[in-house]
Amino acid sequence: MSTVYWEDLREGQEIPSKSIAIGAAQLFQVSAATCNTHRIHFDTLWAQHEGYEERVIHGPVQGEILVQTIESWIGTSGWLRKLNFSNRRYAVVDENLTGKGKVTRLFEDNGQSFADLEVWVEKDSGEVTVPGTATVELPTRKRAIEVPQD
Amino acid sequence: MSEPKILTDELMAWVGRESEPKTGQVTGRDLKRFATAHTLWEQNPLHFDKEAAEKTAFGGTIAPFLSYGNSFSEFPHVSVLGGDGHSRKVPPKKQTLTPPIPLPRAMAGGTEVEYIRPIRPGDTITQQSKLVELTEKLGKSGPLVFVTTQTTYTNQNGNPAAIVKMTLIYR
Repeated sequence: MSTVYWEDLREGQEIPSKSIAIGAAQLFQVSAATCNTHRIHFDTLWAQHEGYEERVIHGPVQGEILVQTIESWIGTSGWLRKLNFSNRRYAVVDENLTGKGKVTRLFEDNGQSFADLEVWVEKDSGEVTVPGTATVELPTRKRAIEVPQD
Repeated sequence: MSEPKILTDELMAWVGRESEPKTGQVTGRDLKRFATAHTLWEQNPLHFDKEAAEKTAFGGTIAPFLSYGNSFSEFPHVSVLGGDGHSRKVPPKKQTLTPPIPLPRAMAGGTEVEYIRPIRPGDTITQQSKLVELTEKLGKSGPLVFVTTQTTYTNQNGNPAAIVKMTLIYR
């Protein structure tokens, strides 16, 4: 993971995109780790009974695509502080999904440096499943981010 | 002439209602299980590598961004599950923040997460939710009701860690 310095960014700049097709084994792990017994996530026949073509990716996992696209970009020297997202469309197992984003605003507040981002998850068709916005705190070459230790 | 309203004064009186606080410890093991299940690409050292995390501004490992509710998740017993595997017969106590909106279907609206300080392995977190907003709009297919709850996660020092707003849309 590399370091992204706040002063190197410009508004409108895109962040590196990340793609993934989430498989059935990972969906199972997510259901288990979050104690989620909803059958649309692990039972194909049930998912089809509800009108989906296949097992459905958990809504928060599409949020994870946004979180981890951002975190892969900022590395361990930046901090994702805010994320808003809306689950507009579902996606299914093994479907390719891409997390994308761009810098919309750069600002400083109280001696700390931030970037606002527009982020979204899209399918290969270009259809956006989850639009969102985020705020990251970033280091400058002169100072690291401030993380409360209390 | 007033239009028919879903949100009666009686329903609007639910705004401001608070849940009972719940407290639980976030163990390193819980966090690692969550992080492992949810890792989509490379492992983030902030969740998996104590030594590497100690060298960053975070000063140690931290909880994954979307894991805030993890210390409170437990399996519902099969006796409370509907045919789809979702919890249905929830004890009334847990429904105190869900007003009886007279519309048949609910779906996830938006999620808003803000971190004030990281949640760390071993933290004891207290969660409290409040019904903060009830609004009604007329959609293409009829009325829509937006129910927004805000949950605050506070650590063992009494300091706020995260604030999460979730909106459910009834139609």
